[in-house]
Amino acid sequence: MSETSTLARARSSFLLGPARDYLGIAVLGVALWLLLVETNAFYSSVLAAILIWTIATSGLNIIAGLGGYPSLVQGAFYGIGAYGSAIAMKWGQPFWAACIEAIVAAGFLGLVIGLVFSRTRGQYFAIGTMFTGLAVALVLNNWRSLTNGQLGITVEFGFGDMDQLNVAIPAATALILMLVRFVSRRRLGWRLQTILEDEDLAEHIGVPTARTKLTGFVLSACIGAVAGILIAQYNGTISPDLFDYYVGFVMFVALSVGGAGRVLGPLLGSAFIVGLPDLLNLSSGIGLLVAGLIFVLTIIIIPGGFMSAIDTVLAAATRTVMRR
Amino acid sequence: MLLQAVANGIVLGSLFALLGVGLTLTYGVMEVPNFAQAGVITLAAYAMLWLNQTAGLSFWLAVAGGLVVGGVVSVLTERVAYRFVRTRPLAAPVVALGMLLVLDNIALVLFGGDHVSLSPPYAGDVVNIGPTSVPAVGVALIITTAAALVVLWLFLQHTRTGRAIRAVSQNAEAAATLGIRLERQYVISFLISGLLAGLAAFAYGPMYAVFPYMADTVLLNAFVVVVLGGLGNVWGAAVCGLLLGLLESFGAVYISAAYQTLFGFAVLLLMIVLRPAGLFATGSRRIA
Repeated sequence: MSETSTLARARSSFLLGPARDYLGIAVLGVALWLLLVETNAFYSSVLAAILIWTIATSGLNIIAGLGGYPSLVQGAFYGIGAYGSAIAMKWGQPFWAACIEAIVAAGFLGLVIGLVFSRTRGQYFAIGTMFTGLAVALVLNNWRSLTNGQLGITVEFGFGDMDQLNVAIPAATALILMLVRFVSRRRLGWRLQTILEDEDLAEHIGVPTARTKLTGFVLSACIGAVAGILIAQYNGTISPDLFDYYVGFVMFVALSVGGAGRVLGPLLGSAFIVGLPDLLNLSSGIGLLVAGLIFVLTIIIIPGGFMSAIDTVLAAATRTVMRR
Repeated sequence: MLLQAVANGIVLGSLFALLGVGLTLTYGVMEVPNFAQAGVITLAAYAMLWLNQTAGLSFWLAVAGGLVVGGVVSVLTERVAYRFVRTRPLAAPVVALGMLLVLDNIALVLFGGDHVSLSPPYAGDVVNIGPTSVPAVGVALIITTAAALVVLWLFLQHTRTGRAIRAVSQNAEAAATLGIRLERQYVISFLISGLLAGLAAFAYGPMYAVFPYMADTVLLNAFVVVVLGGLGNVWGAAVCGLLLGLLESFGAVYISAAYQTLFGFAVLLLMIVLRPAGLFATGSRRIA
């Protein structure tokens, strides 16, 4: 008994203080920036891909991680961010306006999808959102006058130079992680977590479940679009296969492997799902095969993802230290 | 034009029904949305192809081999993965997607990503019924589906095991109390679902092409079928499969072929908004 309370106090003093969390994320952001500019071109590109995926997956973390709704449509918001910003710039908009328009477009689609599918739960929600992802992928492939079909389009560079983009990516990652940390300890986050625990009960005790889910979903969509804008800028060209419908579920995979509902879960998950195959230089088939295996094993063995495994190890270590 | 659209629709609908029935069966007993079924189809199709073209077996022996592979792989997915998440409904779709990644990419690693064709002896034949012409592979698909559904129906209605499966699907705890061995019913359902996937591979492979992601889009349609028919409802899945096939075929002919899959999606949306429990729902079960 006394051991657990000592443990809890120890954790709250040096692991869970809010200022410390934000400071930690900021330091992490600076470290990631240094890593991004100091390593060679290959590692740098892998890291950039991981960070952009971290942003997209962090968006998913709000509705799926905090709220427990298995959304498989995050890849579509990612795609709308990329295509939306690229097309808006093609139409002569300045970069900042194009970004806002892309984020608003994704948010609006999120609102519509949320309105329809918030009537469903669990498996139905997964199937419905997956189909929405497929619908968006089909439109990107077939609306040739707008998206140039499978050939894709080139993206106008919106930043001053590559250095600015290299700052923007880790900065955006850190800001989004802070946003998730912020939301998770605010009313929206608590409400989403009560929905995760028991939606009927949440409804009974007065949580406005429909509105909460909708807000969470729109926020997820907007963050997904931010990642899309960055990948379009980083790649210089975009094509529909980057945003195919299965991308949404690979993002869900990354989130579950890293730790759903945990602020750093998306970073860990993206590092494993996106970074590992690239670093090991695996062909796409073996990469996805390994990702799938890691994923199934993680879900079966550590249901809370890597973050919960780290917690277990830390708690055990703290206990050993306390005992001495 | 009209009759041809109907004929195409029935062929497509048979495929959806064949897949939808397998999905709804495993969903019924275990509440797993078995996305990995698409991977089972792919592996069964490649097994048929390999046995036929590389090992030199006759087409029908190769099909039999492919069915066995389908059944075995499907049971393996249950034994290796699904059984560990039986009590965690939120983890089930996630594991199913993971298994799909694994199975599809095993096919990609083993057989490469090229589109290859599985050609039965009757590959080029065409059957003319009045003004419409249906390729023989389409007719084979319709016959396969009809036969499989009848056999499945007889099995579920009139055998001891079939009754046990239906009991588990209605209420697993009550069934267990009555002495039905749940584990056995799970394995049998996945075996049946795998055999149906094998049949789908045999019927579908010759119509389109065999490649690692061949069944993914079709399987999404099959999920629409399952949702329309009500999760766990075998006859609902069969009827809705046909309906969806007709609808997509008409949409492809009269509106746009590129967006064919979207017509199914539109129906799914309408369904979720208007009748969230499925067309044939009894009204007692809520979406959860």
